[in-house]
Amino acid sequence: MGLSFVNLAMLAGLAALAIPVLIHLLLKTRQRKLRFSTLRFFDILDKQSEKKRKIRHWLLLCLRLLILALLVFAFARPYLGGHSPASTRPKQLQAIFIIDRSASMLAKDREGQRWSRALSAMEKTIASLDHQTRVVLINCGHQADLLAGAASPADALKTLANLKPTEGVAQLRDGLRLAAKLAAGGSHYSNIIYIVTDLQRASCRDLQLQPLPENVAVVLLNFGDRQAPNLAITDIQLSHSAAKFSYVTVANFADEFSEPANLRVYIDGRQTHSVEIQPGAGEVKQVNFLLPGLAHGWHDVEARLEAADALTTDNRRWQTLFVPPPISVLVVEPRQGVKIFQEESFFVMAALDPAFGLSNAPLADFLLEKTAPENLVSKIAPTGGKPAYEAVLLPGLKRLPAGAPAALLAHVQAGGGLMIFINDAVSANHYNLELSQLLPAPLGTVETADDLDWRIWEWERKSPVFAPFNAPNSGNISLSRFTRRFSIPTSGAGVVLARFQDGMPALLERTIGKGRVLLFNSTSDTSWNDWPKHKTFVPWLHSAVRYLARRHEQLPNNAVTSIETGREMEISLGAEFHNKRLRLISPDGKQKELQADSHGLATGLEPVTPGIYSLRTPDGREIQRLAANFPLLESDLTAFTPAEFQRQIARTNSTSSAAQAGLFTDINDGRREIWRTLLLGGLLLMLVETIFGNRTAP
Amino acid sequence: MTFNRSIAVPPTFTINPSVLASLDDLSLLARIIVEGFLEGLHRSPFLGYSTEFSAYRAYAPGDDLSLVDWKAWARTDKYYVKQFEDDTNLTCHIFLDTSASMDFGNGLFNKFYYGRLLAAVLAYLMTQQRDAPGLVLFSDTASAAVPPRAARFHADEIFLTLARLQAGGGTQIDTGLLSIVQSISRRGLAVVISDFFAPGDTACELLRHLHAQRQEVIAFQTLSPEELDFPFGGALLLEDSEMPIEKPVHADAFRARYLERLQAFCRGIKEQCTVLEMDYHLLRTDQPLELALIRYLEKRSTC
Repeated sequence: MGLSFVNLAMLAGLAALAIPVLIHLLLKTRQRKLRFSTLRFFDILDKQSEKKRKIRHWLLLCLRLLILALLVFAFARPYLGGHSPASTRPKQLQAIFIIDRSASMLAKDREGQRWSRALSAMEKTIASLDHQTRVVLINCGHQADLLAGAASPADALKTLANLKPTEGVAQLRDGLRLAAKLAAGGSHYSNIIYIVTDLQRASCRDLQLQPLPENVAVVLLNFGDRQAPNLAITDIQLSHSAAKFSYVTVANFADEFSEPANLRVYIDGRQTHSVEIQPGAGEVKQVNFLLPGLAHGWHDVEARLEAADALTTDNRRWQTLFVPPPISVLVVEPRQGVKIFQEESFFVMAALDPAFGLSNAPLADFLLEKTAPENLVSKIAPTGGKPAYEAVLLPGLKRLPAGAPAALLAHVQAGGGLMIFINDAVSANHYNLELSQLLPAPLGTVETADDLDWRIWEWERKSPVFAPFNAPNSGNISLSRFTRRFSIPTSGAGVVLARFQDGMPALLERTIGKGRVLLFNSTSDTSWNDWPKHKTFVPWLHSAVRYLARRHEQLPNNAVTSIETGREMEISLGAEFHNKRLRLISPDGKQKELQADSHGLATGLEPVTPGIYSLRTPDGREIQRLAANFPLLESDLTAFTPAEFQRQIARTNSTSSAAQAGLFTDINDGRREIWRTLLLGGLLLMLVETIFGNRTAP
Repeated sequence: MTFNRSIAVPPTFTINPSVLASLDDLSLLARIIVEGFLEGLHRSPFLGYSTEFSAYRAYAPGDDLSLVDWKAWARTDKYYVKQFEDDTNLTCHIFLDTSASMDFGNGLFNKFYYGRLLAAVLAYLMTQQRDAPGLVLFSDTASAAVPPRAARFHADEIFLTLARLQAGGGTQIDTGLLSIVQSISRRGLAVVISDFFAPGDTACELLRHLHAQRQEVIAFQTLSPEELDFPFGGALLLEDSEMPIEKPVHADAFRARYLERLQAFCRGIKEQCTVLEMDYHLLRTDQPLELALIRYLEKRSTC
């Protein structure tokens, strides 16, 4: 491995070695003759000291010559191995462009669209670069990656030509991190970083966490407007319940009143609502509306805002809604020929479908059918292994029709739900005998509350039956009073879901086959209790029937229906879809193959354009419909000033981590430069010379 | 005053009537009592009829009646005779080193010049006290240049001798000088003014001989600031003032060691003086002479 030099001419500096020699000779101390009174005190010792002094002086001279030689050699940049000196060249320029491709770059200001102006400025800058300049393009979308690693200016221009902003968010910090790495890796380049951005605050967070090397120049190409008026639809919340409003949220991100804008709501492509709004400065406005009756299945809801603001992309927002098919419920009514409010099932019917029997009733969650006890057996006979009704509500019957216990057992085993109420007509012995395979626990004797009414005091909060009451201020079950009940032992086959204050079971559950049985230790009307008169009765009954019908865990209730563009998502589809192949259909009709993993998790969803995406099985069955929307963060166009941005850019003390790593050697093109070693050696010898020189007499 | 005009007066030493008057106030009382010819301020070991009371003794027939203390007779009804100390003259030999080593030091700080002034002052002081100063010069030869006399104008003779002196030759303390010392028969005071840069241990030999001759010795070791501080730098080729020897020396490198050895030498002289019960005083030639003398005389008076 030979020794070569980058700057061979610098070796001429070795002639400077003559300087210390000359200084040494010129300043060499000459003896001065002096007549002294006596020389009796100047004996052998001084001869020794003179000898030592001369040796020290020669050593000092050698040390100084060595320091000078090391410095000259260091400046000549010697290296071991590698190519010939001809391959050495002055530092090449590396221009690193960090391109903010966030959706806010689509905004239009007075000077025009931000992206167009940024593109034009980048093209001009790259065109002005020397053809030997290395151009690096860093895409700063939802994550930073390289668009062009080390391209020539011409190639970089070609890459830029087809570049457009994404519909997602961007973090410039990620781009700075990548740029800092590239600058550190290319220490033999002269680096300059161009940051192309609109300085939107959302994109410029935590920039100080990524310091840049000090020797890297930073040029800001700013295309933002600090105050760009912008309206955006930020949220759509849908409720299929007739008692609950759906709403669209519109936010004004400007510090002044917006121009009047028209908000339209489309359901399945048909306009259903239209309203003019004018939000104040910084106001978030909620526009309420009621959904019409929708057939069960998936529905698309789109809100459009017709406003002349900076960013039009966020003036549209989508949401999807799954309307499940109504739960078929068979209610057995023992009291025939009485007025409707005298019927035992009056309260449960009214709770499940208040508009039951009306011709213009909207679609309800429950499809009710009322029948007499004698028709029970024929009604609930399972067909094709499936129950005829998803749930059967059985009020207290004095006598069960013939074949009813077996029919009910078959219904439950097939997956149907059964809810048993009791009343004064119920014979405990009769029920215990005939419904022993269905009852969660045997019935005891009828008890009447003497002074103090019973109240439901404890209930299983994890049970879906009582899920509506888990939220704060959602109603207090304990307010209802119970005056009569059956004594029920807790040693039965069922599970107690609720108890009265003395521990007596109030609600019991038993699972049989695929179905469930709930035993309510009271009547379905108000003869034994006043619960139907309380507001907690309806939600409890709904959740109880849903639980019986196994609808409480149905997909749309917990599924993700709204996602953000530009962000990779994963959706849990449940065990039913594990390792299944899926198809994702984009708003433009393009299809993409997906694969759910062993846990039923569908990954690889990265919507690019906003709109409705449909996730289907290969045979076309729709599993889920997703609304991909413009990211909320990008709607707020508030931007930093260039000075504020500049203050956020931190610098490292050293040139780069790579430079630190290569403190002693700089390996480049197979050659090993040792100038740093020589320089360090020279500096150390200077230190030694200072100490040694101070301890040596002239 | 009849001070020789050839001796210039340095700024460090202003020998003028006022200075001498101040010295007059400090009585130079010799510690030893010597025989003297003349009555003076110095106490005699022999009781006499001087002014200073010594003791009472009983009257004996034949005593001078004028010496009877009548007040004591009145109190005790007995006759007592007062006895008084007798004052005598002091013989003082001033030994001045005139060797070439004394001729060192810049201008007015020259040791030889300083030594001559010191000798003159002492001689004048002694003459004023009616003592008998004498001058002994020694270098490679020794001579009793001015024998001691208690004459009023004897100091002028000493001044004249000092004015004509030239330094030169080596410091030889040999039989010539020692024979002069041995010729001193009376007890008295000897003042030695020298740098004591004599070969070997001969400087102490002089002191020992003076002690043997029952002389009260005051040794003034006179050194110049150049010798005491060695303010030279760089490489020097030193030439001995008494012998034809040259030595190359690097002043900066050797200063500390030189000063150490010089101090050891001075300490040796001082210790020898202490052993011989002599007074030793180191005089820097840049110090005001009168200050050195006053300090010396104060110390002397308290002994």
